Amino acid sequence: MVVLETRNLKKYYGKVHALDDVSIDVEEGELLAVIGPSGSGKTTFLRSIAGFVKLDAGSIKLHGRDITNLPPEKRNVAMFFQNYALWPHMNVFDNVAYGLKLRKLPKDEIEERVHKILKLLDIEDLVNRKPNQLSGGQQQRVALARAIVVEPELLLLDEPLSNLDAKIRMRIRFEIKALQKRLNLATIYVTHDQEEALSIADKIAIMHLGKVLQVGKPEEVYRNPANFFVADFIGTNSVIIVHGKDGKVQIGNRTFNLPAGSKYARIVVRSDEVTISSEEPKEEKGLTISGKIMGRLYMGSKYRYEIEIEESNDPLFVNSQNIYDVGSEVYVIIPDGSFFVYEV
Amino acid sequence: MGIPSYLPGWDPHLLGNIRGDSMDEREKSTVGFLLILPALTILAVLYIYPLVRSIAVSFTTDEGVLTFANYKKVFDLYLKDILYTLFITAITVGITFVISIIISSYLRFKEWKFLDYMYRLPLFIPFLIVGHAMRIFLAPHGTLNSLLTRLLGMKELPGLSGSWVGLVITFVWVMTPFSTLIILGAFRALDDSYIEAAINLGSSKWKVIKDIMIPLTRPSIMVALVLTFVRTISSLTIPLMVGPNKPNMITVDMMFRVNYFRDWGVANALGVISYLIVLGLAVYYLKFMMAERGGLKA
Ligand SMILES: Nc1ncnc2c1ncn2[C@@H]1O[C@H](COP(=O)(O)OP(=O)(O)O)[C@@H](O)[C@H]1O
Ligand SMILES: [Mg+2]
Repeated sequence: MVVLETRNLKKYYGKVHALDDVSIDVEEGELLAVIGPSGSGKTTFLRSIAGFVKLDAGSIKLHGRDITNLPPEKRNVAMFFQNYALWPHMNVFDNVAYGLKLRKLPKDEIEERVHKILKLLDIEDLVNRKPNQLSGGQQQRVALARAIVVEPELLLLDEPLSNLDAKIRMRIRFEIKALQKRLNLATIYVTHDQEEALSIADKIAIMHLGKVLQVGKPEEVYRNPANFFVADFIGTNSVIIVHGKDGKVQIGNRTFNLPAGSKYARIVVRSDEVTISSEEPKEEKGLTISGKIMGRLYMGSKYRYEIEIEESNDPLFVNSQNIYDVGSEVYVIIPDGSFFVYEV
Repeated sequence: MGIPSYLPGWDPHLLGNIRGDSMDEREKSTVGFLLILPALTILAVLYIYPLVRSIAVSFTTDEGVLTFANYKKVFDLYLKDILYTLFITAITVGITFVISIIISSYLRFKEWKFLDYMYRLPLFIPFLIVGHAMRIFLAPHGTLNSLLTRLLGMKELPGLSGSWVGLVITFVWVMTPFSTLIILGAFRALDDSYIEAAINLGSSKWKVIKDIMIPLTRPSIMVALVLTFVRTISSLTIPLMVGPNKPNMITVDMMFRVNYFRDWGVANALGVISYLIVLGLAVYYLKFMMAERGGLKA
């Protein structure tokens, strides 16, 4: 069942197209991750669903009901703010209970529901604290509790983890996912971190300059990127530019045809999915490029190599667990599906 | 994040930050004392000395003998005026507060350049001119009454220029801009997300103002109210020009006492009572600020 339907959303700020014909759906219980570089329109998209941005065109339906022109206080969508926006003059209980009080629920029901949600998020003992007596992670949970306690039809999270340090981020990422599944709550999760998006999303939408470039399952957008931007944005990649000759681009053991008018091709290589070998492989499958190791970085679980190749001015950056000496000649073997060729 | 803005008070900690670490305690306190000496001098010359003198004069006869006669006279003759002054001031503060909140809230949510400039206009008009203009506006055959009779076909009202209602209207007109300036500044300094978070949960604009905006800007609002109170209770020109002849505000009584009777004793006794009223307010304000800071810090 479709919870949210957005159709042809448009929003202009002067010449900037913050939203340029955006149409995305969210299904029941689904977690949609919206990713894109800073300024791509992610926040504008969320805020237009919450009703804080007045659209120039398009329509929004929530459970089939048209909410395009509904004021924000009448939409039953809960927004989680990037800076948490906990009210400093209220304690945790009052912050979380605020939405329930507005709904004029009886006092004991409010108390019961607040305590239930605090328990669910494991912050029950903080109930009497003020926001400035909480750590960043605790504030984050309180803000989440405040958003979901009103049982919204849709949860909007704007970069919920961006203010936390990397270690906690990893853990809370999965907690949010587990919570969202448990509540079976349709959720839009905005982030600029593609790895975060891949790991928790049921569906990913990639935005760039106000446009949605691709929507699909994480595996789909990772394996079948719709264009160069998506291929490059998702995953850990190395991009090399190879110039063409007579309408053809030749690299390693492969040759690609260039369409008329194209001068060169950009090749996106998934850095983690290659094999490095000092002997020429027998197999003809995939893409094999020979080159010389120019640099090596120790990354803990792997080494990162900078490899100079003949076909391009750009070095190829690839990762491997095996150790090779700087200066040695090697073959980089890239299986099919781990590199993408785009003509320019 | 989270600490609402308010007008900065004098903060003794500022002094601590600019002191060097190498100084011992005695040196530190000497330097500290020297630094605040200019301010202390001005305070002593312009404020403490007149206050002490005023108190002294109010308790002595012309011959310099200790007496309570001045205060007895004040209570016999002016008790009603003191209560009247408190009444007018309190009503002015109340109405000014409500109007300032309304204007500030409107301008916080919506941009309206015209109102943004207009509400500040009275700041630039001298009291004397305001008083005169209001007299004309509120007179029995003045602008307000002729508008009412012509537009609404109402019977002519007695005119408000000699009544306490007219006085309050004038005070509110004079006091609102300053108070709005402070409150609107505080409202505008509030992060949008505090307001949007409440609206997102289903709050109406009025509830956001009541539940979020006012509580978060309470220190600034307190400053606005205290300043309005002090400016109103110490105003002379306006009650003299607009107010009724009886009862009168304390300031007007003081002026009459000096001008017509050369009675400095009673005038000063009235002055001391004004001081006490303001002092009471100051104590309340300080208590409030301590609670507010403590509350935010703890
Ligand atoms: N209120 C606004 N006024 C003018 N431009 C805005 C406003 N909000 C967003 N923009 C512009 O719209 C574009 C998209 O912004 P935003 O949705 O915040 O991107 P993201 O959240 O992906 O970083 C940016 O170019 C930004 O500068
Ligand atoms: Mg953003």
